[in-house]
Amino acid sequence: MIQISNLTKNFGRNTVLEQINLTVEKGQVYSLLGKNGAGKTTLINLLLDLLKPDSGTVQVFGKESSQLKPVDKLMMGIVGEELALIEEFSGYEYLIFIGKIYQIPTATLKKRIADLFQYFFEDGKDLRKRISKYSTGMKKKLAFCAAILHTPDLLILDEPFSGLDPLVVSQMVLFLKKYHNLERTIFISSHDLSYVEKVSTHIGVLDQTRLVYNATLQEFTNDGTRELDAALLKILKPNESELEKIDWL
Amino acid sequence: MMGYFLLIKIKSGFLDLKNPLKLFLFLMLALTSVLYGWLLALFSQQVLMGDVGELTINLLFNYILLIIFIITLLRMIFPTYKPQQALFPLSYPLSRWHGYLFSVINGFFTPYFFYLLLFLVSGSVFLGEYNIVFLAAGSLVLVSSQLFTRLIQYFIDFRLKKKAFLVLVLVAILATGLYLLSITLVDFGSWPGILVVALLLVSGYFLEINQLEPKKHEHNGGLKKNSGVYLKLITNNPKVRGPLLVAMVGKVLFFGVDIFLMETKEEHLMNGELFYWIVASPLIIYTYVFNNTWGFWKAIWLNIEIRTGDAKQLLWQHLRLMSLPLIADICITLPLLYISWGEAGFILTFYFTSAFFLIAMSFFWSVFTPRQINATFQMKGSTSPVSVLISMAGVLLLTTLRVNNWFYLIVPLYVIFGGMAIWVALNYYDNGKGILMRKLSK
Repeated sequence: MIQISNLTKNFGRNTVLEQINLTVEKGQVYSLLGKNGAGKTTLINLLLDLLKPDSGTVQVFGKESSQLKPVDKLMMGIVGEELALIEEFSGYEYLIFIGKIYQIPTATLKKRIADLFQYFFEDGKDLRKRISKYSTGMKKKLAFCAAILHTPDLLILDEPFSGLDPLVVSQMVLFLKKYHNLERTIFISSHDLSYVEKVSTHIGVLDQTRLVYNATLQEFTNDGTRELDAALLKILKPNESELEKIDWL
Repeated sequence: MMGYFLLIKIKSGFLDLKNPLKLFLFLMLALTSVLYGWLLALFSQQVLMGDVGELTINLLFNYILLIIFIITLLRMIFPTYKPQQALFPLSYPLSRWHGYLFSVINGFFTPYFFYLLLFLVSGSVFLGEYNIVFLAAGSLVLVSSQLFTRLIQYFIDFRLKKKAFLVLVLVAILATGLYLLSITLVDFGSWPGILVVALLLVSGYFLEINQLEPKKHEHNGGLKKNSGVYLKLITNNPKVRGPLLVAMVGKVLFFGVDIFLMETKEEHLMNGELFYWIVASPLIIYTYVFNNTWGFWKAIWLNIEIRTGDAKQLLWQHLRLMSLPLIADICITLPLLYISWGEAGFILTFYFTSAFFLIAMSFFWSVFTPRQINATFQMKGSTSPVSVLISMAGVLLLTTLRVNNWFYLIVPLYVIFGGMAIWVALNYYDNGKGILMRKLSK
């Protein structure tokens, strides 16, 4: 589903990603972990062909991401770093607009919008509110609804849980679990380890421009004997000695 | 209490004008209203002198008043349905009648009614002998249409008692009576207008006291409610709305002054040369907003890109976004140019050739020279200077059509050039979208 080979990306003299090799198969829920600025969003933007690699290749559905046709993109659902919500619209108008882009038949679209709103939003009036009046969490939920409206085969989510209250995150986790099947692939970048653990089948860790870990969730947690955060900290090795030096605390 | 309420409403209206931009817009729109009043008076005088075929002054007034009536009604549903606003909920210690009156009066305190009243007053001042008739009839038609709108809203917004439907019978009787007595809108200036306003006011109160509960406006789907999305993309986006409004008001003022000069001194503004035609073309709209469409509507670009990546789809959205301002520009420009010049062949060729050129080039510039938009009017400009200069040069070159008919041969070249600009932009987009990402996501 996703095949990244020897990928390197620089911004000027600053190397953000270096020699990344990664394969995500159909049916996997792949979670990409890493510190802030590790390059997770850059990697997603490369997958979406919003950025061009300096070297190496990024393939989605067996094609270079730059060669993806509109028909291929119809099989992808995205919640990017930028939610790309059209704030002039109400939530309903936005979803209708997105549904039209994805060529979803009207009756199906209306049913899906109604179902998603019923599930994710408590108040039906939110549907008619201008998006510019939405809270951060509501915006994220709306972006998520727009991403899965057309039931894509590949769902790419950049920090899907940030800014959401625990209730909504658990709703989203349940939703993702139900959504996931052997034909559908989900690619997540996230900091929220407790939630990642509940949905992922595979884990990758980006650190200092490189993919330093890439395996199944079982391997990562040593068959469940380690907590996910402990496993991650073991790889990322936080500098605790510096904390000792702050003697005024 | 009512006096205090009116005072507060007027005061708050003036407080808004502390903002220089709002003051500027207010002055522009007020001047435009006065200008249209003056144009109406000018046209009326021609009608009175029998210069406009069989059109009589009564017929002209009836048309104008009908337009006012219809536009006031359409405000309710345009661009989307606006429910009736009750100023004071029933929990306030006010009688139903007082609460109703407050809501009715509050409905008139909007910019729309202010500018229309200004139009009516200025029209009647310039009209001469028909002034009182026009002002009285216009004001009462305006009030009637607003009250009629409220009646309709009661039926849409509330569940009503059965006897409330008697109002429909009353309105039907009223309409039949007006028809049988051959009373037209221009007759509203005397007792028929006062009678209609009184009956509508009482009918509204009857509905007010016979409402059971508000209907819940729940989402019931349907694409019809999506019909105004492209208008919303303009009206709900202040960074687009402001410049477009200023451009259009400026254009109306420009032509108003031009027509005035023609009537009084028989000469055109700026002698009708070069800069005159830059204003006459759709250029002032395109260079400020549509030469950088994706800067103003970044979310649209990003959605199309990540969901389809299709440059043709992007072009289609670009055309849809600009269609409404273009239609408005056509409605403003072509009649005023025709009144001022009368050369239909040249005007149509010049306008539509420049429009096609600017439309095509605007897609090209939007892809090649995007700029991030952070403020409504930003110091560094909202589009690239190169795009503005080339757009101006293209329009200026078209003014040679007036010099010699041989220059009409350049029209097909504009069409070819515009087509090529679109073709290049479409083909370049796949490699060039990185420019959009980099420039718009700083």
